[in-house]
Amino acid sequence: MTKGEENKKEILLEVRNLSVSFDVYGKVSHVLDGISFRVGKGERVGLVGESGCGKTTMLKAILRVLPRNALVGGGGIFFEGRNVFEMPDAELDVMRRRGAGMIFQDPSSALNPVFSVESQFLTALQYSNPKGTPRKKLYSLAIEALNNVVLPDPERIMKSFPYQLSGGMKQRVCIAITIAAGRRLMLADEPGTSLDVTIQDQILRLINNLAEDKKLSVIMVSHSLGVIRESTSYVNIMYAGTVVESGATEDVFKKPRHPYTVALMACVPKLTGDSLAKGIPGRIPDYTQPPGGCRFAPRCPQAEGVCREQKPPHLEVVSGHRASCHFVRRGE
Amino acid sequence: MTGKILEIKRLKKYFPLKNRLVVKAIDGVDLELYEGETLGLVGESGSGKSTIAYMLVGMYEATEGDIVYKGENLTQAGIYRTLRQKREIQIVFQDPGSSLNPKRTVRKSLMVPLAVHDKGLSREQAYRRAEELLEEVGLPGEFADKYPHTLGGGERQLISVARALASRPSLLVLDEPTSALDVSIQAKVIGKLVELQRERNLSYLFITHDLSLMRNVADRVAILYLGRMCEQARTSEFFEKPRHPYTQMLLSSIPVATAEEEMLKPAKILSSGEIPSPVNVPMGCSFHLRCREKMPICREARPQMREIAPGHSVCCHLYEQ
Repeated sequence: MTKGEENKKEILLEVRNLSVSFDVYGKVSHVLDGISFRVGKGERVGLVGESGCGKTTMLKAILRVLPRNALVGGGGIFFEGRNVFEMPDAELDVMRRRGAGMIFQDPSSALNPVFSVESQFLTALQYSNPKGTPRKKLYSLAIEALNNVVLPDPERIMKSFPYQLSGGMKQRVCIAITIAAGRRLMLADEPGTSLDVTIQDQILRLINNLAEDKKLSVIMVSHSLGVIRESTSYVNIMYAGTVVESGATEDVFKKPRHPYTVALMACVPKLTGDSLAKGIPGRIPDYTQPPGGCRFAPRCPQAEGVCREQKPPHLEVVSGHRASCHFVRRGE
Repeated sequence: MTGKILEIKRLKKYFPLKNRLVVKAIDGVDLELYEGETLGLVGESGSGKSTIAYMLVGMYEATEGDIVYKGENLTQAGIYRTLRQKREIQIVFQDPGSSLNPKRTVRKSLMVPLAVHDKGLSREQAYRRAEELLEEVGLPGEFADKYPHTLGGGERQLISVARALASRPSLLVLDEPTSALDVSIQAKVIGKLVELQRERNLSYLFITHDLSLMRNVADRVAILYLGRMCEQARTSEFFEKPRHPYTQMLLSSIPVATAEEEMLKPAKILSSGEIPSPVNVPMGCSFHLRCREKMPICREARPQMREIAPGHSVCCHLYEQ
């Protein structure tokens, strides 16, 4: 995608220089540190990184469901141009009910085991539709959504309880609940991780198709580089609360620039049978005292003095492909 | 690779339920494992991978069939194996968070198998041996006085490996040892496992659902579906010429991180359907409901394992001429 096209596209969500920290018994953990990215209409954007890098915190911030001890230090999240953190409660409600919705890693705990699918589905729809919408209308919306997620025999599914459905079917139900209200943005938090590969493949394909047919925007969060490569068009690689590299998915995976991305790619077992790296030395930094400069510096093989003192800029290497590293040069 | 260390013959494990229903968790599996070899046992959830692991270490008794380890039939011994048999086959579980006792220090956890299997050691020797065990798996000896919750997932898993190695086994059953870990940590643990195998000529039965990992680690790969074997071959042959329709579907479903890998996947086969319940295994070939090559015979007759090339067996009616 060239730069001109990128600008022309309508932006649905923009995260601008967001920082989030948590107050844990008097100690402050600085988790998200200056995150910025955009999601266009109908675009699928990936957030990928290892556990503890702040992916889920990022998603929670978008829906403003961060825990009470969270402090938003700076920046903002703009959904259709409005800052989520400044929205009055009524407007926030509308955004959550009809604007953006989330699906979770484990569909078994996302659905309530003691209510039938019908009962939970209609409750969710009641909230996202105007007050007083007849139940029949809601029911038909639900059936339509179940058809859209390719579930056979939707009437039977509606009568079932979660334990009667398989993991893949439950995840489809969760997706149906999210799209039935006509939401424009789906936050998918590791949607296939707890499922088998063949089922994960089906769920990812479904999300891709929905994004294309319904102009649904998706933020896909995963720790798996493979999943992100196959299901997004734009990717943000996260490390310790920062975006270290971003760009069109194809470009980033073809030629990663940031030392962390390179090291991570080397750790992924490959079908080619190329030998596996020995891991990345060290571990994710302590967020109460994050490294002052580049957060990857203590584990980076190339780190020098400057890395420990100055935060690297998120430099555009080639058109649309950025990396936060002091040693990356424009055009290389 | 030299002698055969383990042979599993027509192994079955049924779990009776109420109402005369039976879960056929393992329904006639044959496997062989050679000394110093890694056999990757791959399957989706519910395929019976862990059931096989538990039978090997004597946590379950087999319903039928034989487990022959170095010429001795372990099935007859059931769960009453001799101490030596227990010593030589050890297991590492998937979740190191729950397989290590949270109330014990690492040292105490490591001293338990020493007290059982290394009776010659005095208490002081065992105390020090725990630290040596940690160093053998690449962890600092000081970890011995820590509690598991203060350690990372990868470190905990290496401690489970150290505990399994305490009795100096010759066969390790690795039941999804790295699926709960991040890739950079997984790479570290796998690196260590490979190194240990080379040093001590260990045999690994590596149970996993991650086929790409097996490409890097296993010498041979076996695919399990609903308690039955689908395909078994040497790793290179397996990934180059997958024969069983289920194997092809699995391989084409793997999300891969590079374009080179994309080329190696079989042509895109859209995965369909889900693994049926093992209570109600379909008649004939258990995969026929999801198979795109299905023929009338698949519904009626159960296919048999057949060797179609040296070391490469497939259980499918397509290859029965």
